[in-house]
Amino acid sequence: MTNPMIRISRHAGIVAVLLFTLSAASPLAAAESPLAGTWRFDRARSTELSPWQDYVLTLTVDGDRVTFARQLGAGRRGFADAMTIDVSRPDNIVPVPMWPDNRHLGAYISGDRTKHVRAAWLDGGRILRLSTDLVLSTQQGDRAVNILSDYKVSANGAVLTLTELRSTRNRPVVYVFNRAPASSK
Amino acid sequence: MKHPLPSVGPVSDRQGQSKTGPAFRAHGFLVLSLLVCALGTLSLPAQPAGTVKAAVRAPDSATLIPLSENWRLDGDVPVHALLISLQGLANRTAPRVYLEYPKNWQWEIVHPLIGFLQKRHGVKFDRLALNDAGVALARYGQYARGVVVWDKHVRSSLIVAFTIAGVEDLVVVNEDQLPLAAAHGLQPVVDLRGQFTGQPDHVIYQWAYDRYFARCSRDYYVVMGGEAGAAMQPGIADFGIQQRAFFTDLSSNPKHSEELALLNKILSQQNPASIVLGWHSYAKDTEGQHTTLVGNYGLMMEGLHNLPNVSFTSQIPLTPDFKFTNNHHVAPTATLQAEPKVYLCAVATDSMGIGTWTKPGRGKIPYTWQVLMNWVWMNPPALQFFYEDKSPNDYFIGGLSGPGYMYPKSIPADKFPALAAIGRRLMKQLDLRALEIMDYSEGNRHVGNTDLPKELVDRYYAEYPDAIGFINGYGTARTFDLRDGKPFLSYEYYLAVDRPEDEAAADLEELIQLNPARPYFLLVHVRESNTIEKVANIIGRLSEPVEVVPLDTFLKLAAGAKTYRTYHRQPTDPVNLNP
Repeated sequence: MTNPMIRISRHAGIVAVLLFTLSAASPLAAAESPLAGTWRFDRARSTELSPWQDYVLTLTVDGDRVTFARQLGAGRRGFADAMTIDVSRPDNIVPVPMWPDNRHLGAYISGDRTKHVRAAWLDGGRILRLSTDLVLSTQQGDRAVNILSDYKVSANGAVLTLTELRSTRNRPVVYVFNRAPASSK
Repeated sequence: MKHPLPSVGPVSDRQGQSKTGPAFRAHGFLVLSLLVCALGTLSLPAQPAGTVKAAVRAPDSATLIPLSENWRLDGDVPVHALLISLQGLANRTAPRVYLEYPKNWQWEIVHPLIGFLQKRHGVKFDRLALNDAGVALARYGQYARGVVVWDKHVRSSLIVAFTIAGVEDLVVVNEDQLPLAAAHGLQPVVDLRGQFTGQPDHVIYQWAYDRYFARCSRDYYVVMGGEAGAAMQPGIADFGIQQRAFFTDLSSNPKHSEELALLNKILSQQNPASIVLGWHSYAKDTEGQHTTLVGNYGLMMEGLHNLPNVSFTSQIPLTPDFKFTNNHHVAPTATLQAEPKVYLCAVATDSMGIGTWTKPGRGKIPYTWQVLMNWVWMNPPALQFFYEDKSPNDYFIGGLSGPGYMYPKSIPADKFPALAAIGRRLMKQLDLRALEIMDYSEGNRHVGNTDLPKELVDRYYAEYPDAIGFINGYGTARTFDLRDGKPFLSYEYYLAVDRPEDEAAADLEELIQLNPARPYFLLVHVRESNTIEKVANIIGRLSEPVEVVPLDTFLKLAAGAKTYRTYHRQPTDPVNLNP
């Protein structure tokens, strides 16, 4: 019979090796992700944002765990949400209290109020690509929608471009953000 | 010249109670007015009984005073306040003074209406010079018995002065205007200088409440809000003064607990289904908070603080040859068969007078316009102007949720029937067959929900049995129903003013993609500043052909092909109380 302590120790060793292997495979192992930071909406270079007027996006990157915190605002009105996904996981199930992306459309988050997100690093970590599946409720019923979202950082790290392709929309949505100065984070 | 009248005692605007003051110095116009009022109350609309007395005919002549564009308190507001208060007093017994607000005034119909009054009523306007308070006082100072002096250093003192002007028959001036007033025999009766220095608004308005509220109208209360700080646009004040209303800009925001407490005290004492004029203060509370509170008391809100000249227009009758006639396209009992395609209906709300009525493009496509129904007695010439000026493609519907602007979810069930009865009467009078509903008591076009629970949908069907259908929302909403051939639909799309045509077209195409069954009923709310030309251009960009129809046709088509799911507000829907 093997000593249980030795068994745990062995397992811990295996986990450590696995973690090291995974982190070595991640392009973000050695340096902070260029996506990390607070990004402020550049209205002049973006798709018109209504019903919102302002959009502050904060990305926090911890290895493969990425947190997206959105703050949408229009005068006194605002909406904030956050989601954390694990890029290494094939499916991240994220709660969706409301679908704020285009409130001027008669389309609402449906069913179990969740979305399924999978992600991948591209170009050595400069780009994060999300594929999101959710179900929107409309006057005629539920409709499955897929959204491809690319978060791309400019070469100098100062500009973030979010390009969204919704399966139901013929036209891409492009939001451009400028990196907020450290003091305003 | 100062009018030699004794001090005015308590007055009431309620029918059958005596009035004192200059009103009894009227001429034949008043006699005619009273006759019309006595004989014709059935034909008069749902105004608080007896408060507005339309004359048999418009006056042969009236004084027109142009106003400048400066609406700063340290600019031209003092002379505007003087003229507006004088207008309210002079127009008490007959329509005598019309103020020509500047071209950029939000209620843009003020200018076309002058031409309409000249052409259709034969009114000859005697035009004074810009802001000419001197000549105005010389002509109409007789209708005041003095002045109330507001404190230039305390903004709210001007709002209190409006109350006092109505109750005491005084012209509103500041200290710089005292010599001018004196030159016309008007001496200070109430002086507010130094009275409110350093005091918060709830204390200031409590002072006014303690001294004047008992003598103010229970049929009208004025929220003199809108712009805050250095600016004020008190266009509705002439009517408030004429009606001896109590004025404040008290907050309905719970974080201003003292102000809210006083506001609750005021609203709770107003007559059932009476009128709240004006608009909430942009600096204190929100539209949602204010309208919700007004609804809690079952009152009707006429929400335009800068709506001008109502003391004049409310006394102008319709011309004898005119009847409100809508452009109906289908009989109420008709049935229509929808084809397998997309039907789009564009609806403009937010008051016709501040929108695109006069802009290019009207008549180009079928367009539906929401009528603020109380204007039939507040502003008959304006509604006659719109009805006579309509193109074959313009179609009118009633709103907003009933008579006035109200949120049905905020109205107690026992107060709803009285309001609905007024709404039914107004719809009939205005030849309106569909009703638009909006409710921001639990959300807005950004967050929360704007839907109605089944119980309220039941109530609308029961209280408006002659309606051919209902539409709901402002932004999008998801309340859908169909009963006895009468659809209850919600806006599918809100066309924001800033939305470029290409993005708006992509939005509509996305909705068409999201709703694959045909027919698909795409109801679009067009924010008032969007031109009809823009709407037509957006529709022209769509890859799938759509048929644009007026709302009565749209409702009839939707009645015959229920491709939409029945939905009412659910307990799990998000709620936002518009903080």
